Amino acid sequence: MEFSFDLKNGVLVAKIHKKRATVEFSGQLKEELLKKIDEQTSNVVVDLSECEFVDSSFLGALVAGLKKATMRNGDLKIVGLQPPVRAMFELTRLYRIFDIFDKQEDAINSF
Amino acid sequence: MKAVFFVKGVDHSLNPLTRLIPKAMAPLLNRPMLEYYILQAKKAGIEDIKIILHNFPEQVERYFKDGKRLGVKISYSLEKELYGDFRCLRKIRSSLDAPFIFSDADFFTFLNWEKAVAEHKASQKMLSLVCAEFNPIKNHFEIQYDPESKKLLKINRIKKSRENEQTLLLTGLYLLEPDLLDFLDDKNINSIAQDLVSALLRKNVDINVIKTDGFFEPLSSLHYYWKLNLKLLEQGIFKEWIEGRPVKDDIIIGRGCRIKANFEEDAVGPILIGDRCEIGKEVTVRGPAIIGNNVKIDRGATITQSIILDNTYIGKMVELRDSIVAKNCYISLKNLFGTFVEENFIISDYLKEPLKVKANRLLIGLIDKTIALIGLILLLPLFLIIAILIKLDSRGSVFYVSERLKRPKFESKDKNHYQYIKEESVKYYVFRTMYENADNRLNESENKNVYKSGPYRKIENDPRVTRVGRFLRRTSLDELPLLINVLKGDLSLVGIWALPKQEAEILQAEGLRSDNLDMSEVARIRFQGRLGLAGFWQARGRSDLTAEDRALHDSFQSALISLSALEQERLGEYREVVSLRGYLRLLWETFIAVIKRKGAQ
Repeated sequence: MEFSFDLKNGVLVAKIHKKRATVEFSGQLKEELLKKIDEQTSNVVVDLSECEFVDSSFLGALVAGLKKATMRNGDLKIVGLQPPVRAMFELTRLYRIFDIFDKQEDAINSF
Repeated sequence: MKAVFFVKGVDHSLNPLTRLIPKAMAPLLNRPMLEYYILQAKKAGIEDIKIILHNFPEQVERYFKDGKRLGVKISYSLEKELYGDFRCLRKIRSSLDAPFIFSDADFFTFLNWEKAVAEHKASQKMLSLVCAEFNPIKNHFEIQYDPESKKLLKINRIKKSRENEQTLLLTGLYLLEPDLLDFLDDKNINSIAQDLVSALLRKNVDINVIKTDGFFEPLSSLHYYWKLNLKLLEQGIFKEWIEGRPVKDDIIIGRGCRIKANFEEDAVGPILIGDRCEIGKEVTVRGPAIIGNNVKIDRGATITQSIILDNTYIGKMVELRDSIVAKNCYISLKNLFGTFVEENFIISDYLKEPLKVKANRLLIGLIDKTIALIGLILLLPLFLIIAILIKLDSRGSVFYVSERLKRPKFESKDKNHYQYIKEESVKYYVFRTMYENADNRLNESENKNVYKSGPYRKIENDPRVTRVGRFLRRTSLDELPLLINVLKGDLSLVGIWALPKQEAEILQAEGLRSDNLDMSEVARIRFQGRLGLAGFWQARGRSDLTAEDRALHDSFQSALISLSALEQERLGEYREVVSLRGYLRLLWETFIAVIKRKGAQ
């Protein structure tokens, strides 16, 4: 399984279980993420703590999720960036678009 | 009493810093210049502020909002058309029911507002001009007045700047009674300094002159902007409004910063550091220096007499001196002296690359040119057939020349090493796929854009495409002449797809934003990378691609391929993207994607 969803304190937590989060399952993730936001809640946390590599297709899925969540007055926050992924977020200025946390609890409590 | 500020947003003297913001929003000591106007007004007891906006209105409104943060009440009005200041004030006459202080906030002024307000009240005149002694500056106004009665005698536009001389200069700060707006109902009176003052003099209406201390800086170029910032810091002007914790007399650090231990021991003040900054080991800062919010300065860097605006990363061992680095930059070029770095740029050091990286780059260049040369030779017969088909199908030339923007470069501006970076344009030769008059028929296809919003254009079933053109596009054969550009070195086989000039300009100026998401900063990173034919967007782009997806593909690739060897170490598996393997893989993926897509159609 590449990713799993969980509801914690009313917040949708999506955890990615792959080292490489890439185009192979980003389309599927995007579809299910948007569906969950529609059906459950627009407060979302995406946990990337197991990822060492996140590609641009996968980032597209995260941005699509963020767009949908904020449109419904929610937010999509990110936790657990490993150093290379963090560096990539800095380089591409994505850290300015997403709220980023070190720990999952902090992200969940921030809603 | 009210204060009214006119933020026109049309003064380009600080470009490119002010390309996307009004000059009044240019940061001084980490806050927009306009904020000091508001704070000076508040200090003089004025809490009712009106801001007239014209260009970039959202930049001002988004930052100041209703003014609560500054303890004032701010309201806005938007002027669609730009007239002189007096005419604008007349247009908002109904909201001006009390005497008010007025300025257009395009210059820097540091004046005694309390004195100005008190003297205006005492004078009982309809108009007061606030003046101060300075050297005469071209196109500003000098005045003569009677020191006894404080009455204005003469006003004169300065034709030539004169150094080493003092004169009484109009500071652009006025105090007006609202009655004045009704008093002269003359459509020809546009501006206060140019038209109103002389009209009043002609009618023998007394104008009050207030002479105050302080200083004035017209901010006519980035060099003066740099100097003013450092001067304000050195002389402690506005010290009362600087937020942060002083770690030494002249070193002030904002909230939430992570600063290495003993930073202040090696640092030389005055230094101002904004909020949420990170300063690594062995970093030396020699003041005067101003560092904005969210700035990360990595290990061993040296910053001397420079200004770094928000959200910038300064790499390891970088030496920055006498420079301005605008927002959202990523600097890892080792030495930057007397440089202005424009917003959203990544500058890395190619000079000190390890041999392996250099060899890699050379190899990629070699592969590019070899494949292009072989390809061109093999394709020559095909090119001839295509050329004949185009000629037979519709009137016009075989090739279509399109102007694209090349990768930005360092450029020397004058003898002070004053450099900035801009995009050059490069000509692309592709086979013509549209009718000759296609560019004039752009509106026919406007609503057929695949991207619902944003700067990008991709049109399906375009009525302007010829029959042969449709075939060429479907097979991507129209783009094969780009191999000539690869051979010339304009392009690599793998790189960021060059945007047509018009799309690039829209992306630069308007960015990429929707109601709830602003991706402009991310999207503009694409301008950093080398240009090429194959890339993530080309390989992964599907028909349901959004403008955001496209920006992510482009900027992701761009950010990675413009990194220096040192930086690549931080990036773990991301190095693969820049490596020879990554190059070949992308080339292959794009090739397969093109074949597949064509097959599907």
